[in-house]
Amino acid sequence: MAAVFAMLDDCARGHTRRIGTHRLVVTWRGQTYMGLPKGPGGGADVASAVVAHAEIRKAVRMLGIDPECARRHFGNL
Amino acid sequence: MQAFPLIFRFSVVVVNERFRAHVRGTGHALAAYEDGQWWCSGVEPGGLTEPGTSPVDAYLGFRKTLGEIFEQIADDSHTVEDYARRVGQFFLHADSHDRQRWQDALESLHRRESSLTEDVAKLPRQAAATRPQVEIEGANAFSEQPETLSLADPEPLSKAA
Repeated sequence: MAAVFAMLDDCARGHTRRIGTHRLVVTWRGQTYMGLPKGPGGGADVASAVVAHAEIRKAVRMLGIDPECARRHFGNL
Repeated sequence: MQAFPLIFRFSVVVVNERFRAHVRGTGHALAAYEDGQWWCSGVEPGGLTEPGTSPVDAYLGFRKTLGEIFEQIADDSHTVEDYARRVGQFFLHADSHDRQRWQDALESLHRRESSLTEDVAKLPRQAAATRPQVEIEGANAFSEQPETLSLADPEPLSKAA
């Protein structure tokens, strides 16, 4: 998930993310995405959560992130 | 790539200290084999995808996450009206990419090009024209009817007698 956060910081500048009670909540340009896991224990554990490329592709599409920018972080996305 | 167009119906009750709500509806999802495993990917609502060992197993994970999202939206909502608006916004945010894949998978089924997995073969059939929709009923129950503790008043009883 740390790599996903780095991608969001670069490709979705100005986004907000917070660990909710049940889900990780990412908001950017009026779109809110809750499809990414918050990790087994939430809190600081979220950075260590393992995220598959299918989950990243979905987040990129639904948040309207430039796929080329995302591919600079995940080459075979 | 093996893929199946799914239609699911769901019903969720959410209760917190501000309101209670019953969310029910019909959605579209795509079960697809990619990256070495099955994924159940939301079409409408589009905002989630979950893996599994089979199409139905992936759907069970998808359904669990959908419930968590409804709970998260409830936590972020002040009133049942606010909740209904947010749920509607989430639910109607379709994934146009997966919408096309869902249609392609439907065409493939129609042409009998797909071989069904054992679990998918057991699923009941639902008309493909069934449209996604969501409805929310509820009330700001706890503000309308606060909990109270009272001492029984004998006066009405004596009046009644």
